[in-house]
Amino acid sequence: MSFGWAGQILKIDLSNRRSDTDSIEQYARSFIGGRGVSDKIIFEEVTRELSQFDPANIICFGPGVLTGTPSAGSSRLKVSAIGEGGFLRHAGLGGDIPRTIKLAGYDLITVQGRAEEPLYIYICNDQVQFRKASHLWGKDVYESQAIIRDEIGKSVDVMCIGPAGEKAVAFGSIHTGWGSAAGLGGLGGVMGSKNLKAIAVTGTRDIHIAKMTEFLEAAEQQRVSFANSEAAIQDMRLGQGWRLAYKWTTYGIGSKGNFESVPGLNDLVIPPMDDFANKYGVAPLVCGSCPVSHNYRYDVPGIGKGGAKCTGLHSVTATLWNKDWTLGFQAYNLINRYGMDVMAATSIIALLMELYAKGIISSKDTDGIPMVRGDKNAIINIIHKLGRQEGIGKLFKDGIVEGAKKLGRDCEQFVMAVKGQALQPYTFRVNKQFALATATNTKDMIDAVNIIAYGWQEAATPEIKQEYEKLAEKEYGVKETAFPYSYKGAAWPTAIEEGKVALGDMLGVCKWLITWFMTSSFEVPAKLFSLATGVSMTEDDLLFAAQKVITLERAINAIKGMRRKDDILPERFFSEPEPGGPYKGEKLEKGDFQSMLDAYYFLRGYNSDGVPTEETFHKYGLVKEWGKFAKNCSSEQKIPQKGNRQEPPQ
Amino acid sequence: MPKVLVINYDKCVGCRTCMQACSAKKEGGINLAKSRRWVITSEIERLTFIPIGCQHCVSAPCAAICPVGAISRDEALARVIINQDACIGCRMCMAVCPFGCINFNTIDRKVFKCDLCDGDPICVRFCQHKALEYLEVDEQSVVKYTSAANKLAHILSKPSLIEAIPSN
Repeated sequence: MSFGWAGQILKIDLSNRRSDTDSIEQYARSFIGGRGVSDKIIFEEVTRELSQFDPANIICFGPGVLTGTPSAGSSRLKVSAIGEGGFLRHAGLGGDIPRTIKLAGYDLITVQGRAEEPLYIYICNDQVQFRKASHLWGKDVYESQAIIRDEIGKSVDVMCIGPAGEKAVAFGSIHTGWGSAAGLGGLGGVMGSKNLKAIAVTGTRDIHIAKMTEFLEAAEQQRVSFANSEAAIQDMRLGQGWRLAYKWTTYGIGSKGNFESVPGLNDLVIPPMDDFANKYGVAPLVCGSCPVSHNYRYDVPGIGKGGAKCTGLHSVTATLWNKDWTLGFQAYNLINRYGMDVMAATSIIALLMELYAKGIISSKDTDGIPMVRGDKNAIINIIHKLGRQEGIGKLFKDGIVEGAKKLGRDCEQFVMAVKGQALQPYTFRVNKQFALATATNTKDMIDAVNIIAYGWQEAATPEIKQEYEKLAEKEYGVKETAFPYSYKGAAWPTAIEEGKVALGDMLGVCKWLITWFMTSSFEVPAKLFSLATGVSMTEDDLLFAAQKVITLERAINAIKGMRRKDDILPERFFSEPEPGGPYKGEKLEKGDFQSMLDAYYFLRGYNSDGVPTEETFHKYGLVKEWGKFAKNCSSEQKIPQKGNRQEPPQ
Repeated sequence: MPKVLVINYDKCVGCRTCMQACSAKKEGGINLAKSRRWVITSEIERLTFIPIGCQHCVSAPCAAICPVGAISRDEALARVIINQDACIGCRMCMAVCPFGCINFNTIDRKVFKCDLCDGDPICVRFCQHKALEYLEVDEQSVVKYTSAANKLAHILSKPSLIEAIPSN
């Protein structure tokens, strides 16, 4: 009997319509679960040539060890594959399906190959069916789920792609329920390239817990401690939109347009969302086991129903020079229905708007649509073009960088992306930790946020700022880690926080609760892990495993060719200062950025080119993995035997 | 006075933690299919989540129909309970329950349902959204009638209304 872990990996071969199971045990002790096990499996499969839409590309759906238990926020899974830009990509998914996958008996589902015709997979405990999906092809993500639920008849959870993913758009996303999406990284495009429309799951098996009574007591205590954090709860509920985007613009956290420096338009402030939310808000949307809720569903006559939250709300307003919430919701809803990532789609529109404003492109380049900033016609039509892969939409099929290259006329220099992936709409000129994390994290900065510096930046009064400074000294011994604009004290929290988020992804717990709003400590999750599995591990043991996993991710990307030259932000952040707001004039300095990168590589155990060294592999017990790694990097990539450890910058 | 399980339907967000906790405590393993309470998703008009479970009726149809007297009312905890040893698995109680909240264990071939965890319902302890509460029955409506009274007081205190209301 397996405790904590469900016990099995479900391996699906779409080319031959076969499924097999494998035991999780061979991976569990070293890589724990979820993202950790996915990374190990992908590491074993990766080659330099493996691309996003290659049938050999293996896509992993990894709930964590605590997923499915009543511990707070334990219903997350991470989707992983070689994705947009040709590198390892991750995206999180929630709702009910991660729990259901565990209840069906699986710690991980892997899919490889390509089906000959559109299919969806239905998993009911140990039964796996390959079902025709031709009648679903072309349907949006909400319709598709409803049709599958009707077909199957009983209680079933579904994750699916939309028309964009079906057409293997590089930024196609995967959706479940009304509001959860694995957006970044183009994992929906991976599914589409495999002719896989959806995975539906029913689970009626037991998840066994080694020490049930103690586990339930500890889980209840954790929930009570979260329930007592009223301020944190309110903050987390801001993801539902109430005043969030407004706050970001006021405190200089969010960006405008295509991260532009435009005189006269610098005072764009997003109005509060309250009126819109009061009128059209329906109900909170949660993932399973969530004690708070961060998402909300709206129903707008003439537009439709759907979830909308958090950063996405900024992407459909400030990024598009739009102050109309109804238009913003329409854009968000339409992007979701097509199954595209909100940040990726709005980044393309923002780019086209800047190019048009500067006279570099005309409406002839955009199918006769004038790309006027904030214009409804421009916004809605481009979303249709991208989702349907028509006209200008086809140019951007392979992502924003490739699309800009095809436009020619040096349009590429205006692209705001890192390693082919769109950016979160934050102020990278100001927050150096965001800049470093975006440049280096496998996903992007959202998986490595130092909540202390973020909180300091958002703090409304000097007294609250001082609280964060005290916290910085307590946690890191360095007051400067509270200052988002400081290069000093930036590398260490970035390295630590990305490890914590990775651990959250291995346990299947929500990073908004643990690392962001409620607590940054994994002491309780470690205790819950030990009680659930019967395997006694401390917070430090688990964080060590997480750092091992991050190293493996970097190794996967190094095999794919990622080096120091790729760990960089667009030139704009170095040459154009912050146009307005409380940090007017701030920008990145190249020398300081590179020093910060040096410090990060030192802490990570990478050489000066950003490649993990043999010593680092051995430190984490990745001995066999070093063997494969050394063979898979050709001589021109020159992996040194010993690291070039530098003294950390002062 | 014994307490009752109160469901605040407007607060349920469908996280189903109650179902996880219930099955964990009562069945020794987490399995939503073995929970004694179900959270049903409804999209008629609005997205709504309805936690359904035994209402512990005073004149319980299940107790009335049971041919072997396995179902009875425990007044000490104001609950309806099933004597598992006496149950013959005929499932007539399932047929007559107006709420459909009796389940059938296909291994033991006996029925099971909510028993209020002997006076300390675990579903209530795990519900952070306050959709489930365990209260004295006269406490159930306090919050609502207080809120209604306050709203009325607010309206009645408006100057234009004071003039309009005859004072004799």
